[in-house]
Amino acid sequence: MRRGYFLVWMSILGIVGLLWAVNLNAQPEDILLDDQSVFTSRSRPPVEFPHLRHFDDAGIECSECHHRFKDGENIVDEAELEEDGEGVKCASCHKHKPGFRFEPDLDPTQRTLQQAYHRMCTGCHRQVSKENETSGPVTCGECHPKKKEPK
Amino acid sequence: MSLYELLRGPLLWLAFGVFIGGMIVRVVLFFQLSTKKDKPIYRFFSWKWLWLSIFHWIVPLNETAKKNPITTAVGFIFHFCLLVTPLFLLAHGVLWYESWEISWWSLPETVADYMTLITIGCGIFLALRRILLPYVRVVTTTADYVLLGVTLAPFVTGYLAYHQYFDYYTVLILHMFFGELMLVVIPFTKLSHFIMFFFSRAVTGMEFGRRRAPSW
Repeated sequence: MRRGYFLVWMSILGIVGLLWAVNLNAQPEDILLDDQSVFTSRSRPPVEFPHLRHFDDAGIECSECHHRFKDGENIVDEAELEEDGEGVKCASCHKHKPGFRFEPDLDPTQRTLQQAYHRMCTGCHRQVSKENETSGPVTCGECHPKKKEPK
Repeated sequence: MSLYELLRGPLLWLAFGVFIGGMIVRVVLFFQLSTKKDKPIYRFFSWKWLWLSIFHWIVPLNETAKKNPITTAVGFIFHFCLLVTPLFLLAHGVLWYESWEISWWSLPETVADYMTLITIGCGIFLALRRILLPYVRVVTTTADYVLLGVTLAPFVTGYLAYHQYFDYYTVLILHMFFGELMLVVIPFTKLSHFIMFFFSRAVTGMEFGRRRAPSW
């Protein structure tokens, strides 16, 4: 009887442990870049960003995109990449600036949110496609497709 | 290399090269010819008549504008939208930024969208004018219609691409192709008036100016 209890408890512990471990590595699959508080007026549909594909299919490390620079070095720690973590969202540092101009960005820390997105996404896609590898979209409509616009 | 990369890379360089190089050659040839055929113009060279003539025709403040106010207005709006829309389009600005890290102000996309439609509308008006008015038709050749088509094609395809009508990628490729085609044909065709306008206006202005008869 005692042995039975032991097995039940061990099973529960095992399942909880497994769920906890799985949750540690849980990554959002697709993220809709659609922060209504930031982008109040839009002329293009929001981008549906396939987060999971970037490290599952493309094998990209977290810190290749997520960054927090100090003295020219990316010091982001993967453990801090949780919700509200400083290096997790582009918008924590790159602020949206209304208007219709991409400022010349000699200082990357001053990039606006839109600039940061465009540089990070299409910049990388263009670079990878130059190296003759399969890459992500680079044209306006492929990232901002009208068909997927939420109703 | 994909078709997109080809059109965005080497063919774009080629298009800009032919366009800018071709226009420089056109201007040089114009001056060479003028030193042979119209020497007197240099004796009567006048900055005053040069600028006055260009100004009166670019604004437009001239007899033709008074006689044909509708055509003048359509032509003026057409040229304004034709030049301003592509240069200040947000999507083009993003490309300049991504390629060269340079930037300037862009139009709101909705405004640019309407300006594209206005350009196409004015272009259709100009085509109809050539077809319907007998005195315009007699001086019209097939090349005029083709050139108007080449000019409007980037706007039509640009409009379709922005709204993502039909197959987006195909439309975008066509848009880039027609844009580059337009640049390439400018130095070899009537579209060279883009630069040559200033020279012919200046010469006419000075020619009439020395007779104290304004050419506007």
